[in-house]
Amino acid sequence: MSFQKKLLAFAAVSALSAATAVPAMALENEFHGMFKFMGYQTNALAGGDTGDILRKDAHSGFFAEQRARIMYIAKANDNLKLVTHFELDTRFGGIANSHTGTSSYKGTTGNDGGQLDADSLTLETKNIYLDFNEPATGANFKVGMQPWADAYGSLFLLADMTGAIGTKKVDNFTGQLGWFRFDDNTLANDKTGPGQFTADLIVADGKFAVNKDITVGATYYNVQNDTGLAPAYELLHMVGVNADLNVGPANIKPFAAYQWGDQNSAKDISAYMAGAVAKVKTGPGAVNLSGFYLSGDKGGTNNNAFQTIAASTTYFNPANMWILVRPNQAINTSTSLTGNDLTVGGRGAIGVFGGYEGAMGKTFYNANVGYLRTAEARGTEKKSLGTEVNAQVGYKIYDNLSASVAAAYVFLGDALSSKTTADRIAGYAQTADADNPYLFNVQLSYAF
Amino acid sequence: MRKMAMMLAAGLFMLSSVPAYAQTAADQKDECLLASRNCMNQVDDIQQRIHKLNKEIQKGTRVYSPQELRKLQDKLKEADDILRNLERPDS
Repeated sequence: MSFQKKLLAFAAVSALSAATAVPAMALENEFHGMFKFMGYQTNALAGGDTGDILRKDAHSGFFAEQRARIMYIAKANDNLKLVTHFELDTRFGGIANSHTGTSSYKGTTGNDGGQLDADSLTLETKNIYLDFNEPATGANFKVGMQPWADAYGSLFLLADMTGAIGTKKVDNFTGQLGWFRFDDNTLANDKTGPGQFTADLIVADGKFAVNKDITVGATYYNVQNDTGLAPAYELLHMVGVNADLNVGPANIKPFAAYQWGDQNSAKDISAYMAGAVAKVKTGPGAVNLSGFYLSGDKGGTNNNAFQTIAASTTYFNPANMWILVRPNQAINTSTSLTGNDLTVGGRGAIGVFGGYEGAMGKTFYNANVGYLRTAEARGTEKKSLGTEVNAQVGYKIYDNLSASVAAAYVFLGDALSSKTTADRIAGYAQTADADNPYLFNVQLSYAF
Repeated sequence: MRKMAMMLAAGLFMLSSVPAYAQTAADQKDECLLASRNCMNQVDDIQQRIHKLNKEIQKGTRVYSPQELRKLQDKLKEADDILRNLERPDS
């Protein structure tokens, strides 16, 4: 073989081996994220979270906002990864720190880069946690700042919290045990010692898959609050049951829970909730039905009102509402008629929602109607909060980029819009004879 | 000399050209989805990942063992959770 031929053979072999050799993956870098642009023409929102604006002769105006979320996952292997997740929120034009004596919802000037020439600190931390499978027990552990959702439509709690949770599967049973410290008001170096003014949530969750169509679950949540601050109770127990059922074309998720505990040394809590979410495949799309009941009280000695951790960490996304309940597509401005307080200050609530969603090629659409009222009236207050109708049409520009427009209108109930003061719920109704709130939304949504 | 230069150039070209990763055939396992192996030059967005996992799960026991299927289902749940977390409507 001549030198040239040898060289050719060597080149061919080395090229082939380089092309076929698969490098051992030392670390997999996984990036995900989202970007949403929202434009609103509305008389009910002004780019804040306190609650929908309910005024007589409410001004209509336009504002726009954007959100990006960036998630980086450092994956050593299938059994070990670090998850980090960040958020960047901006209202177009920025957010005033104060304007004619009213302070902004962010509270600082430095959390929104929408003003002239941008240049602001906008980065928020959402999640930083270690996720690993322990080889000896086969259990999965998540330790750190992580998202957690209850098994009750997020009516109790959905939040990012610092804590640790372990999950173990045994055949068809999945058990979960977790601890979250969602508040620690102990000062650094405080002479009282550590862990004195803390609020903890303990979670025990069991799910059993009876067969591929039926899963039943039971949970126990425990909240111990020694902060002297919100939530407004010292001790809360919550037991509940839930199920996930496939019946023909329908998927039904019923749930119910009971709460008891100590609001303070003189006042006990005894409250309950129930609800269901159903999706029924019909025609080219699906019918969505959902509803919930949260017990309330008339303001008596025993507290029969359903308790949460905070209104800002409750949701009911299956409602598909824009105004009655905070929208499941919301970004920076994520609020509702009652400022996300679905318990309406302890009065409890009943909500029923229905709608249809479908798609035709790259076009998707949905239309919904919902009704919300309080469960209990205090004094002469009326119960009806409002009825919402909304619709949305969108188009998928690419697989992961969609554009859509939506409109929502609420016929306010007497509890929020009556001309008579005694009919209205103080703190939620803002003025007599408030205008019906509405919004038009235009949206660009990208997720990767 | 020119031949040698040509051969070197050809060799370099071959070295630098990494084959595009073909889609797995109907009766083939997707090792990248299953075990994060052989994921050369492959970056899926979250929708692609969900789509591919669904496709692999549909191959069923014809291709995957029940244990492997469970693993794929876990990964599908993980991908669904990531998407849900990304799109969560908190303020």
